[in-house]
Amino acid sequence: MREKTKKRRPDEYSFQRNIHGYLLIAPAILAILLLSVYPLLQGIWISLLNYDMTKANAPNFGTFAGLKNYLVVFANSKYRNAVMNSVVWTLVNIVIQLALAMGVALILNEKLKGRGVFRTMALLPWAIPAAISALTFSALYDTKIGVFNAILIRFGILKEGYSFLGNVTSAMPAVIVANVWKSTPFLMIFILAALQGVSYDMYESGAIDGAGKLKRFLYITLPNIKEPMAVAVILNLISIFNNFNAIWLLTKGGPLDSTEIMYTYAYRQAFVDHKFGYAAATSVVIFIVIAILTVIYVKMISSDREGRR
Amino acid sequence: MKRTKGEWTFLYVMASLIALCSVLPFIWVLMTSVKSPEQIYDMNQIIPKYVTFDNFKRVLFQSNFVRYFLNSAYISVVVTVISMILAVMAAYGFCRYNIVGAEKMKLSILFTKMFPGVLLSIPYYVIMKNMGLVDTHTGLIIINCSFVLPFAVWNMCTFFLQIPWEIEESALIDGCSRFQSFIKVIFPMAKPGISATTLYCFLMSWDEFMYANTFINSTLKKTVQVGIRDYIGEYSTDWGPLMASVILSLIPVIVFFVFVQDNLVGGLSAGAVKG
Amino acid sequence: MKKHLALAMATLTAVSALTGCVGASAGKSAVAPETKQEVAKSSAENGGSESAEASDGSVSGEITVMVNSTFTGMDDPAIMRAAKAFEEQNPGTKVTIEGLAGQELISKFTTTAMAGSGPDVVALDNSGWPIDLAAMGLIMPLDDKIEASDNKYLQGPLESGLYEGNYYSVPWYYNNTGLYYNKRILTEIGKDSAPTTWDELEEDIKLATEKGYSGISTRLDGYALFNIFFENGNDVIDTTGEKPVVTVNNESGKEAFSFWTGLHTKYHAFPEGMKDATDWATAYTTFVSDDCLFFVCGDWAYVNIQKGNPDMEFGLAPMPKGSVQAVCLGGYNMAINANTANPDLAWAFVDYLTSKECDYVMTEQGRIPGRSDVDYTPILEMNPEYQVFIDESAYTVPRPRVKNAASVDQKVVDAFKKVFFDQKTSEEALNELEAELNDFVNENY
Repeated sequence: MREKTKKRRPDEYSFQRNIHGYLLIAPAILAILLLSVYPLLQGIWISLLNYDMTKANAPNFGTFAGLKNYLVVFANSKYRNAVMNSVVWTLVNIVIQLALAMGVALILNEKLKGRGVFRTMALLPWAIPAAISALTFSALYDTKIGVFNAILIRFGILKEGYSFLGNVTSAMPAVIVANVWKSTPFLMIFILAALQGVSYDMYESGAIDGAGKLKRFLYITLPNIKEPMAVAVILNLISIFNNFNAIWLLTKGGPLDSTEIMYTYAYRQAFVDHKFGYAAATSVVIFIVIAILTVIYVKMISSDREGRR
Repeated sequence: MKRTKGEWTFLYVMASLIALCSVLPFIWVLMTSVKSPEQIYDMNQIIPKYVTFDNFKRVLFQSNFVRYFLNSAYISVVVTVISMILAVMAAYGFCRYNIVGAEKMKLSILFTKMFPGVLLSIPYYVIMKNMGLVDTHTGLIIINCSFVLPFAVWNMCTFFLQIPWEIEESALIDGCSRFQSFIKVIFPMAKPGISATTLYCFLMSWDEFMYANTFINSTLKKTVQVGIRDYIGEYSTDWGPLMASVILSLIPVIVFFVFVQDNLVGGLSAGAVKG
Repeated sequence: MKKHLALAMATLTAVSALTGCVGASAGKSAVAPETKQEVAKSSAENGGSESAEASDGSVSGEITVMVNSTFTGMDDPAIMRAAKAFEEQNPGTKVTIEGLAGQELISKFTTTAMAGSGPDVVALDNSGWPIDLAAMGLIMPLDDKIEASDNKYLQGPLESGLYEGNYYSVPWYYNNTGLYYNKRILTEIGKDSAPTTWDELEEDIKLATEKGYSGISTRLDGYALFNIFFENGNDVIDTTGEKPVVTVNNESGKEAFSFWTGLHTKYHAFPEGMKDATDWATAYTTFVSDDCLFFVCGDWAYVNIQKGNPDMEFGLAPMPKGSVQAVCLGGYNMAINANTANPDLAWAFVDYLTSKECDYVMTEQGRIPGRSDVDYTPILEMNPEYQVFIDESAYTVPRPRVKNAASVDQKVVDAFKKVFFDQKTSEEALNELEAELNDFVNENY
């Protein structure tokens, strides 16, 4: 409502009136941009150069290559495989995490006795460093001493140990499970925080109207937490897409590239093959893909907001 | 809201299940931390038959762990405080003032998070070197702030949007200054969002490894995340001390959790109860 | 004391130079100390000065040395003592040692050196890191310094730092793989000694798998898998000429690859757990579970197997022979950052750390220094079985000396996995490997 009325009176957007606002946002914006612009531009610039570091003495090293790096990268079947894996990795992760986080947040929002203890425990995975969670899961998945195999064998589902991280079909699900465990609390706590914005008054009126629980969730809870949740989702999406450690520390993109995502591919290009030009080109593609998705998504959120008002 | 007994049972079962799933892998960490080296590889002792605290003693008294721990705590707290102040200021500015191109600005700060970090470490290093901040905690704090801030600003913005700002206006009419009204009226309502974002800032910088590994050279300036990897060797892993240091490093995080989850109760619901 | 030491070292150098008698004498690994005689003389004359390594004048200043954390992770690390001793011998110097695990070490060095900074001295895995960094211009050639040095470096490890005719690193310590065997299972299949040839190996594996055991396990990386090609006289990639030539798919390569993959297709010799053995810690569990006959690994496995299963009896034998005896080289070299402000001090320390005087840094941990004049007693006192690795040094061969060799490792491992996962036949996998390696060479050369 506010925004609409303001659009009719553009003087409300005048600099003088909002000088305090500009002063308030300036430090954060400047801090971020000052530190990020140079590395970012550098990254984009290298993607346009001949930058195979192990050919540092070659005459064309560091010269302008146009879009050559991009074309080379796009032509590589391993890159296309990495793109597909990135899509699977990101989508499956976000869907499962969102569903779980929502369920957990709703349950832990109830007035349970010992709620604080439950909440603290539910947050615990988030606090475990990435390296440790990787080590822990590789031990849990172990063919010989792993708990998962021990349980499956005990119940007769498996006859002998199965290598979850070592087989092409199971490696991706296995790393996704590990990452869901580690990352869901992030979404959960933000949904939980958003749920606090839904007042009991709203629920009371809903209950009086005789709304069922599902309806109450769909018509009262969801609309009220939709926006913070949507933002948490997009922030989470960026993190998942660029989550290097979750994969690298467990499988290094293997076996046979079955868990190679764009980020691990870019890393490999840079620090294994020393083709920094290709790595930068891959990174720029990642950047553009996420940027486009984000812009579309944010536009959707804000048009939805306008629509509701 | 009244719930039947069956519903409560269901909720408790589910909550316990959630807690169990969250904690299960962690139990393995805990059990490993109290095992002697012989027990760790013993397949019959997945649950140890006896416990030892030697690993903890070794980590606490025979390594630089305490120092690493204090370094990390210092860095994370400073990063959290700076980021939260800047993020709350920025979010307030975005929500309460009419900023030209606000959405574009918000998007542009998010863009900086989208470029894979590994490649940025080289130009970042150049910046730090030119500023003379290599191998300093100040340098690490600045870097950490730069990648924590975008998310923090975004989160605070969305939580602020949930707040009915009419309340602030009525407080202004009552003669409060803008700052007073923010502290007295808005802050309590925004507490859950602020708590969650604070936790996020703290954990992101507590868990940060790549920049800490690249920018810190001196042993005594290392952070916990870099320090604990000393136990992960190329040829073998020193499981006991590794897991013991993980357990110890979790203590401040858990304290933080307790503090945050206390403050998660608040916002409109609390406001409504207070009337 | 120091006088004596210098004198003794000089004598040793002279003697070995005259007789050509060095620890590793065969083929590629032999030292060729043609110029060493003069060096030895001058060193003997200089024996009167304070210390052997500071013979070319005094050094001063500060340097940082980055090594793999294997050497810094314990109480009172020997390398710290060595650094302190160096500082005492060279007043006015300060040496800071920094320890990092392998993968973190190389990415940190690459990042900081590319940014024009980084530690002065760095320890590098001889699996190809020195060559990569040399090609990137991040470390400096050391030819003159190596020539002037008294240290008799082993040729094999030394060559792992050879790029375009210059040596960019010097050997620090080296290792190779041996064949660990489960004594109980070996007895059960009616054998009283470990296999020495491929045929014997295959027979043992056949018998063991018939009894329900796994045949052989290792970590799936180039270090273990190159062995099979080397053992059959195949270089994988021939780097003697101007441009590397892929040889992996010639007769000897085909034979080697089909022998090794045949162990899977014929006997299912490899345990399931080997599929995710991408690090050594995971690889051990496949052997210590007491149901696998053989395990291919370097010296460090010994302690870890003992720790992993104290009740299991196991032995250690040289790698079985294919058409030739050969084993793949591993270990670490020392190199100097091209950005260093103090190359003289950096070299003085490298020279010192890789000299006989500092052998204890490695031998205390059972690591074998990369020189020919090493006193192996401390290593053998620690574990007499390490004689296997010392003997193997005579035919320890470095991996193909190509840029970005880690990529070659990966491709070889993947080719093996394609057969191991029943996706491809041995022939198809090897053809694909050859094509990929040819693409690799064309892209990099």
